[in-house]
Amino acid sequence: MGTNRDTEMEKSGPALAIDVQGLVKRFGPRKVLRGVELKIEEGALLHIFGANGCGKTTFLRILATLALPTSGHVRVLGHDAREEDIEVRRAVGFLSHQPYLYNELSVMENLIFYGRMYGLTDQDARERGEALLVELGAGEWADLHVGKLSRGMKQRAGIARALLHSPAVLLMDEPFTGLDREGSEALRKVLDDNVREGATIIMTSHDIRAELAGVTAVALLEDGRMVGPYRVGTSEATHLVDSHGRALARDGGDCHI
Amino acid sequence: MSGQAIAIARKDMLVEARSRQTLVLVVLATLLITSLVALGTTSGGLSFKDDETDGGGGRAGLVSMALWVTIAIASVIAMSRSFTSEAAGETLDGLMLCPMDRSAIFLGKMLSNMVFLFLIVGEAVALYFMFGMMDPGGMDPLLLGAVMVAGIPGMAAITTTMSAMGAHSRSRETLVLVLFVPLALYTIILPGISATAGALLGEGIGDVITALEVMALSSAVYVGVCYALFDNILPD
Repeated sequence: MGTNRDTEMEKSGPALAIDVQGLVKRFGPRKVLRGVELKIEEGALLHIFGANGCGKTTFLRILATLALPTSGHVRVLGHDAREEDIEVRRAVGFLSHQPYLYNELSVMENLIFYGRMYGLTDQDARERGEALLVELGAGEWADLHVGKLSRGMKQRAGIARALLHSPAVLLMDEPFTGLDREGSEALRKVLDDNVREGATIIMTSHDIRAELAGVTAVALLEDGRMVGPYRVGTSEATHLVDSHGRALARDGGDCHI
Repeated sequence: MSGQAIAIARKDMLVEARSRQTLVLVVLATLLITSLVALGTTSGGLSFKDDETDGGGGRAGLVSMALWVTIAIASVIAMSRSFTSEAAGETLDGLMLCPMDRSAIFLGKMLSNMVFLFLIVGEAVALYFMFGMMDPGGMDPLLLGAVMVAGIPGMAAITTTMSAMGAHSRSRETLVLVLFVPLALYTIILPGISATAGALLGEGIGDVITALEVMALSSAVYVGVCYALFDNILPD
């Protein structure tokens, strides 16, 4: 099956997976993002952390073309997020706090529907969906209606939806939230596999201490600006993680803009 | 129409068939309206000229009016199932993430609303036959079908757009679409009542051609304008 990842990787285009310049986002008088700059190479696993309400979700939504920037430029795999939004959406898999699944349909019916939306045949969507669900420890839920699943089960099904079209760029907003230990381990393995296959992953959380395994770079979103990214293992990255950990312990993880 | 639009319409119909969120409500509303019309005319509570003296015009006019009232009510109820339910179920973002022109979402939703409205018309017509309010021998079923085909796309386009606006709106300019509601009354519903009555009386197409043309043209304009403006209606 030809995937978006194959297509994007075959391109001899820019090595940057994400290129963000001067990104500003306002909601009325409130300026959530204040000139964010970010360059991420293909194949990176970047962990963006920052206090609750500091714009991490907004940032990911802009990368996924679900929100428009007030000003600034965003390019995903060389595609302008405003001008070439369809190409960006084809390349991106986005996992939000919501699984984006229909309660009245079974998990597999949802995956087949989304497969159709991404141009997969029903058979390809079914095969890929089954493989992902098994990988996520959710193979037995394929025929269950989503409305009957627990939050954690929905989260795993939502991960399968986000990965269904083999996106070249994965955007995951606090992906471990709501998952039990088994689910977290399954997700970590899926992320590792995707990085090995060349996918670029950006995930967010408010607590950097929670998930560092496999991460290649870290960045902090603070006061609407991006600090970093720093390659894991460098002194800057270590300092960023340590100082954020102390701030988190002091402030409890809430943003005070 | 793109495969994605058809996939959205199929998904909507499957979700509706399983949840019966609005279908039961509209089916019951249709049953209530048709029953009231049938009982009202046969019980003598309303005074109409005998069919023999007015050629059935009074009955046809009443049934025609009730049919379009049913379509209008079904359209209003259908608004809640297009985008409001997507927004409430937080699945709208999932649709907007898909790699397609967002007008495909409009087409898919409009298609499912059209199917929904045609089903309701089918139910209402069946009930009027059952209650003896329609004369199968005297009416022109093809003309009745043509009237519905001319009017329902316009109604579905407005319903779909209003539903999207109800769920989210980021553009004040699109509020101009609110004007479509009274416009639809004059350009689709009123001509629709007139043309439907003609079809029920078995009149030739020549007698209702003006009404049909107004409806078809209006539908085309509403579908076109709603399609073109749709990208501005979805949330940012």
